[in-house]
Amino acid sequence: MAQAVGGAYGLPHGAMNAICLPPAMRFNAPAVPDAMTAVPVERVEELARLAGFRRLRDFGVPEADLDDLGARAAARPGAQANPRPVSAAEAAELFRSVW
Amino acid sequence: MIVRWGLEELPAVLEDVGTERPLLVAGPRWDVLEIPAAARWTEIPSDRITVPPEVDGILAVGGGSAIDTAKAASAASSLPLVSVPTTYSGAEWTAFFGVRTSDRRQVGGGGGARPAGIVYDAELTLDLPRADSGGTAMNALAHCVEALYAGELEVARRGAAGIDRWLPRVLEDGRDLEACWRRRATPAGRSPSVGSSSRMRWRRRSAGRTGCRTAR
Repeated sequence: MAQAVGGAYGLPHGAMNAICLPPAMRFNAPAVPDAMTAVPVERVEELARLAGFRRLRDFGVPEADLDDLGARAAARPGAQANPRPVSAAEAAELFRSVW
Repeated sequence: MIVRWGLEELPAVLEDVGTERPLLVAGPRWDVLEIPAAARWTEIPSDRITVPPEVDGILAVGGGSAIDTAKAASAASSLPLVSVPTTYSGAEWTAFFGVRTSDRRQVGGGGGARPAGIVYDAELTLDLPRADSGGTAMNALAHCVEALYAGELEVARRGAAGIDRWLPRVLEDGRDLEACWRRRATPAGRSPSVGSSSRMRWRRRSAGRTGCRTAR
């Protein structure tokens, strides 16, 4: 997700990771429940906010592009290796949740 | 992978990986370090890096963009890569890289770089803007979560715990050297002592020497 959105608009990879990591972790939680207790997603979200990263819209990402971004994210090699299979529509929904 | 702490270790690491004439991949802000090199590449990030024939290794100084640019050069030339990371991105550890244009748009990516050495020096992170400290640390945290997915629970937990503990202090005060060292040190479980200015130590170590070889 971070590579798809950051690469599309030339946005900082770290900032995009900070925003996209919490929804991605929540999406993956059913597939990797042990991992989720080792690194609590609530704390990841807190750290992201502490660092000043909240919404994709703060970085000028257009809402109209979210479906396209979902398709791009789901087609990336990283998404193929995701612990839970993700469709373009699901990835777009994850983007929407942090837009 | 050879990992050392303190910029003064760079000549020895280059020597250990067999590099005498490095291509230095670093933005102009790192000119201040006066690192000797056979050739320079300063466009960061870049999708058009070339490797001149006279170099025998790649040396990256900078954040993930500089290291990814250098990894593309390493993959294209099969030359070893030594990285001096100046952020927390973790790009120095993998052979994979993204390719971005100079306006940061991603146009591709690849693998096959030859990361051979890393030299950490937390003093190089002290002037990082707050957003870069936070962003690259969150990138490192994303790598920890990837490690969790891959079943590397202990490594991932240790890395994430280090970020959890020290990132707030780095964000509070980017010049808190202890926090920067420990944020940097945590993934490898080491805590080096805090020394004098990296730049001065580098100059002292490299004074009177030609090229990057050490006279050990």
